[in-house]
Amino acid sequence: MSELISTAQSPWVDPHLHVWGWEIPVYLFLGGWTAGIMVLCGWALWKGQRDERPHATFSLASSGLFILAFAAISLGMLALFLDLEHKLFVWRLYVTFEPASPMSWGAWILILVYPVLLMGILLDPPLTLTNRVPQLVPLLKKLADNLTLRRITGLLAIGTGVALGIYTGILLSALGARPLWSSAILGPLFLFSGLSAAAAFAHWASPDQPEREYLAKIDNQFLASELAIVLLFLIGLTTSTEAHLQAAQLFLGGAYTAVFWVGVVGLGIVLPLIIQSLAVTHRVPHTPLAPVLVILGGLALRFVIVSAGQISHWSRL
Amino acid sequence: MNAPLYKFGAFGDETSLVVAFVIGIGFGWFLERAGFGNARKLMAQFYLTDMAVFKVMFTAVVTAMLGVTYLAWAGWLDLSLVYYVPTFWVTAIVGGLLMGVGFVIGGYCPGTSVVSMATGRLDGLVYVGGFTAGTLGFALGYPAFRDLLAMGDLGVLTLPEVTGVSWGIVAFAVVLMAVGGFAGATWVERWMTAKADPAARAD
Repeated sequence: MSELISTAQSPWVDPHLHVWGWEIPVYLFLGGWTAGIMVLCGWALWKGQRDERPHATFSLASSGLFILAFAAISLGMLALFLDLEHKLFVWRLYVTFEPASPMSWGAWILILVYPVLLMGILLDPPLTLTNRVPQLVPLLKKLADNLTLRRITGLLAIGTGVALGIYTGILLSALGARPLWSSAILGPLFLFSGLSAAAAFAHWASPDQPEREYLAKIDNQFLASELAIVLLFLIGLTTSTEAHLQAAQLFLGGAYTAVFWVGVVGLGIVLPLIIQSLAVTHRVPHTPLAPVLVILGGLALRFVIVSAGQISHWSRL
Repeated sequence: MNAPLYKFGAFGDETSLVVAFVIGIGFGWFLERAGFGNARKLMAQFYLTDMAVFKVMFTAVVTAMLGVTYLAWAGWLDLSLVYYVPTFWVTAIVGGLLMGVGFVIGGYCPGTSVVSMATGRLDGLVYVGGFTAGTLGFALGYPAFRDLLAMGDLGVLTLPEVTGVSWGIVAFAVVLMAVGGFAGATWVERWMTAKADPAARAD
């Protein structure tokens, strides 16, 4: 028996587009987390805060979080590199700038992120650096004592952090072929998810009790905003075209319903929001559980959006 | 809308998991508020000095039973579609003993250990690790346990069927048992507390 396949259904003409594996969600999460750290630490630098301890800590005004962010974005870039089909041509992204291409914007934003992170580290140099290169100490002290420089670095960190966080969402929303991603609200969603994951880690790791409580309160505001944005995202999809409505159905009774509402919304946003709200009013102990849930929820959000987005599609004519 | 909602197609498999999550979180929340995330509180049940576990669990049973009874009476719930767990009496006794021993040694049951872990208690975390390993071990060794799991198979049994008494009478009897149980538990609680602390008896 002969089987007839029309042109559009031929796998050679219109192959399946589920081509992004673990690398992209991991990159998007690490990028978003780095963005969140940059905004929080940038805010501390802008306000002129300073950690007087002789070594780097994970307080906002110290360089510990900047160092971790440096490592995180580098790991994210490695994941992104592993995903590239033509790895040897990656350098070409940096010899051109395409204003209409989110990927081009992303490549250049990432280039801007590194010097800002480095500056944040140098404003509170870790002992490893000053012990190994003592000649740098006078210069670094001069930099650290310069309040204007701290404030400018803080402002730059906030700006590049916001740009990086929004870009991780816009990267997906620019791909109109996938209706689930075809929403500009993905930018703010990923930004606030990154901010909440960063604040969660910071209030877990901070050495100062008042700062922990302050960051937990901030994290609650980020989580509440993220929840509102998730709902707006779904409202936007369900009130749009038939293809967008079908994309939203993936979360509203479809294949991704449980993992989205339980893994992302329930365990990643609502539950930690409740626990942290009780913790900041001293009704339950402040434990690592809520921040760990927020961080895993942020990771789950990227995996779910990237995976479900690749399933969503426009109906064939 | 008639119940059981899932059986009547009100929602599918995916949504049922979300419903299970919401119910589970609600269950955990009330366990925590009742103080059942604390092993000392739970262990007091076994020493009969604090019968809160007995009272809370019996209240839950009676509440669910009355809810099911009234919903069925009103025609909103089709009892014939509700899933009943078949009775394996040997398995139930062996499993119950194992569960009880584990409860006394560890200080928690699986549900309360998760509540304990959620409030940051390390003993709860260790207990969750233990039962996760146990669950994994059971799954891996399932062929060896298969015969034990089917011992004493009596099929689906309900009290009205076994006793030949109507559902309503059984429900009323269980309510009376609960009321008697609460009064008895309160008396035992006071007596055991006084026995453990003679000064309290003088009061």
